[in-house]
Amino acid sequence: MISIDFDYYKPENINEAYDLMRRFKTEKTNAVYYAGGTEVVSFIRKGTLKAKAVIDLKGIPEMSKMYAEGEWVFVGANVSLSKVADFKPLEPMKAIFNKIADRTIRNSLTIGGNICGKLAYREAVLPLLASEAHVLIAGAEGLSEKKLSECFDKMLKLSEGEFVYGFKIPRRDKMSIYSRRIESDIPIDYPVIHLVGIWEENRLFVGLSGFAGFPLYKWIDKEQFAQWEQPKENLVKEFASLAKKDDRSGKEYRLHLLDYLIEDMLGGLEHDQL
Amino acid sequence: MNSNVIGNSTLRKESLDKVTGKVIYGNDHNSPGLLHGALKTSPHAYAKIKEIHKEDAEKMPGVKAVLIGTDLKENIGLYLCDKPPIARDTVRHFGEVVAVVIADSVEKARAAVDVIQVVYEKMDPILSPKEALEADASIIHQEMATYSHIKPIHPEPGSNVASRSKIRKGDVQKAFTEASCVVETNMVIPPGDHVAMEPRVSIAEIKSTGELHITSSTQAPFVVKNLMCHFFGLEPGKVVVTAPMVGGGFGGKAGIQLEGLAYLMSLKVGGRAVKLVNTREQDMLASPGHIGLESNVKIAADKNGKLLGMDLTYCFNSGAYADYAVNISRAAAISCTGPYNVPNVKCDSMCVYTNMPFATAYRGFGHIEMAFGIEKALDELADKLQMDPVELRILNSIKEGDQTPVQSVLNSSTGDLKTCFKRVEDMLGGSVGEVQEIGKEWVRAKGVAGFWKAPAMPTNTDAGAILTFNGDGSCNLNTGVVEIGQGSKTGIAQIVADTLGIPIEKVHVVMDVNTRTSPSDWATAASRGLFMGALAAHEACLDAIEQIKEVASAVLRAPKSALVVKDERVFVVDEPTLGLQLSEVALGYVYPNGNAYYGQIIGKGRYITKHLTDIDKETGKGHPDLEWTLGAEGVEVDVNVRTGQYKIVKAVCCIDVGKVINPDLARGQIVGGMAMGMGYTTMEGFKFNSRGQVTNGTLRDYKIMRLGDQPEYKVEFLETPQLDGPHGARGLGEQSVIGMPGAIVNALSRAIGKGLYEIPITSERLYKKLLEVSS
Repeated sequence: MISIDFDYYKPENINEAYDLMRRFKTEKTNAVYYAGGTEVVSFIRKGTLKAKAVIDLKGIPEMSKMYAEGEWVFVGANVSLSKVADFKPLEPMKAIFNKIADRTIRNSLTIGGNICGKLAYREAVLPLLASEAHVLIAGAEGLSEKKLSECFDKMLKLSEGEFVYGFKIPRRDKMSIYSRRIESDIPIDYPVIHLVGIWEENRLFVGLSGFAGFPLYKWIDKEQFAQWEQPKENLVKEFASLAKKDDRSGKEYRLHLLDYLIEDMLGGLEHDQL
Repeated sequence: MNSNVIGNSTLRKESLDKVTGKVIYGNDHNSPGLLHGALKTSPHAYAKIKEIHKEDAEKMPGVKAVLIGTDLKENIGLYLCDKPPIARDTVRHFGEVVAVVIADSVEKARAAVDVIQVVYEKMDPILSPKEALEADASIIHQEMATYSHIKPIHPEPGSNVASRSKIRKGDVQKAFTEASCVVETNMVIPPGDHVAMEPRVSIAEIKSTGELHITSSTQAPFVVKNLMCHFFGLEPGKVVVTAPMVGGGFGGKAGIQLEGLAYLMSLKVGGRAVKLVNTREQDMLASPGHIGLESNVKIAADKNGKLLGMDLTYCFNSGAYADYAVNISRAAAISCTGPYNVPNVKCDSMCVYTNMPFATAYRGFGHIEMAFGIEKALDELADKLQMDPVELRILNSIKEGDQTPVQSVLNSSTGDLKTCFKRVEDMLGGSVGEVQEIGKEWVRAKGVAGFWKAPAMPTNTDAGAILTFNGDGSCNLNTGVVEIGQGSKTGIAQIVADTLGIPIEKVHVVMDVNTRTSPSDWATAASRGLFMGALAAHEACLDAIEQIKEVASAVLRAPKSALVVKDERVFVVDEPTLGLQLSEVALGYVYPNGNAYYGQIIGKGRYITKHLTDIDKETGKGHPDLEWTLGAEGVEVDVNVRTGQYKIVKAVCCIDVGKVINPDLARGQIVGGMAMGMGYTTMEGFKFNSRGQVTNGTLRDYKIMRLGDQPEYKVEFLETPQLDGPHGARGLGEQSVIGMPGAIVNALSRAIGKGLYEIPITSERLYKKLLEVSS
């Protein structure tokens, strides 16, 4: 239970939400956006998030929508990961989404929350980056659309007061995805390492969550990859120096698992040319 | 006798209310004007409290009072009086209570906790028993010499040893010089938590009559009552403790904890009713958890594997305060060898203070920790002698006529351990000593362990039972056993139904325990609830039957010896149609002309342990053990030798329980214990940083077994009768947790070809050992 007092707001549109937050920033009131609440509730209760005001984005109906339209799939930021994983047009990415927490939590945890929250795992961002998804950001001028890869570096780069409205994901019937996640004790936990490999037409996407203090990713050109004599070692070298140590694993174990998973990925990846 | 009831998987009496959410647990109790408490805890593991500023907190809306350590003069403690209810001038562990706020609501109390300012002077914490025992270690309890304690406890002032128990049996030195084979292991187990589903709660109110009423999630209402009188100078007749349905205890609720604080809070606000409930984090850290252990085990054997001697040193990690821990280290000494016949034994079992969260009773009570080292050492002995690990254990299994480490001779009520091991071997598919490759990266291996335990309790442990009746001949059963989820109350009801010859549906169980109205009962702990409660209830039934026959004898004009009580009637043995319904007798018999006779039937029964003694301070000799329940268990594990990940695929147990009263409940206890032991071994245990702060003190980080992590379970029971037990039954609540660390560590060590000596066995630890193997 949360025993501190805070103000609760539920704006009905983007402008209202953004203006509220701008006002709080000016007044220097500690305010946060939230949707699912799985982070906010835990951290306020724990005392690590001292929010005086929370802005509930669930009052903005469009942010809960999800539909396929032409070449794209629109996913509102407030859509829960369970719903995202179950959505047919996004089926190829389901394997990655379904590894996050457990079903009960995914029923509340939103895609926006997973990508923009305080917890640095952000596993849902990896397949979105790989497929060159776009992110719709609500800000001073209303909505703006950008390539996700152009505004994601460790986390989503947003200006003060901005928030994620939704994502536009290029529709794919089929994707070659390698996704393998290792936890320290039981599956329902943060990842010690989650390796995602996605083979696109001309390049390989390699993404890592849990390995460093933020998600790592790299695209490697097919041509370049073919020239490597030691593809595994080269891939490992891309990421190795960023291995972190935390309560769940030391650096050495993470490095070992990185080596192992990349070997597994290169051995078992579904593709027709390498 | 109703022979359909014993051995029947009767549904628990309280189940329907539990699964529909209708049960009233401690925190569901509310009353008008009830005040609420909140705790402020220490962020440091070891520090002096220089200043506490509570003025701001006292002024906050709804706050009635703020209590700090210097407000209270006395210490409390179960066996050794070492703990101030609120830290007085020193905090000795991370999470220790430093202040308590009393307010109109929980939210207001917790908000006020945040504004209390405490100034600490940090000191270097001691974070292991080894460190605590070093010659120049700082002394955590400087006043130990002034602490009162019970006789069986032996504190060593001027050191960090809260108690030392010694076993000296035979001639260990000779045994080791004569031995063909000696092994030595050193094992480490960290402290951890019970993680019972229900966090602790206590409500206290001092009535205008001066009576103290406490409602608490306790396994031991009578212990609470007695200690409250002892510490606070109260009259026993004026202290009433109620234990409602409890949401799991596992030993964590078997002592005294929040009750003392709740009383002091009520006293502070003029006797008003005050409720104190732990947050989950406080339940894990401010309230006691389970003990840790550093053990050194040396075993000597002859060339055939016959054990000649054991030289054992157990340094139990009690944490900052002793609580039950001084008795845990003593209990581990009494059982120190595990269930094996060892003619020569030397054991020094110490309860050692450290600056870590303190320990209370936990399922297994020192045995799970002790068994870890013994079972690993036995496997290493088997390896050295090139013997099968099961064969080695069968060769040395303790049996009737053998002596325990305290030189107590086992009688004919001793279980058949050899068969238990054979059954476990069989259930695992044999070949326990072999490792199988089951793929490119995976190997499969098995491990076994033996276990035994007798309750570690006072020599005058007792139970009682009262039976009253209803107009339809059904009865009401009142015992002092608390329902903590183990189902003992249902088991006892089965005994009553069987003895009285009435259907189980007609035995109505009083669920709450109230120290004023329930008969005295030591505590619902140590796996003796069903054993003693049922014996007392059985006597109460016989008492009631005597009275029923008394009435019937007059009415039916037949001698009592010719009467039978069965099928809800009392009748003449050779003329069954001549009889009375129990409903006619239960509340006084009325003759056809209106005359009333005899009055209501009230059955009473009691039980107290017989022939128990304390153990000798120097040699450990004595007879403290009531009945031993023993058995064997084993696991099959699959290990990924590339990543160190592993999965427990099968867990099996064969235990000799004397008599299975309720098969489903019994199996539930055994499987539950195995699951708990698996979590304990593979993922639990507190993690500390270098400053002694616990880094995994929330359930998001402290991992326990979930439904999806379960292996395939197989459980078998043997029934070598316990001659003085109810229907020949023995206690069985704890035992199956005891052998799990040993079985698991043996299987994993075998799988990777290298010994593992530390709990929890994470995949990272396994990987590091695999590295050692390959280099």
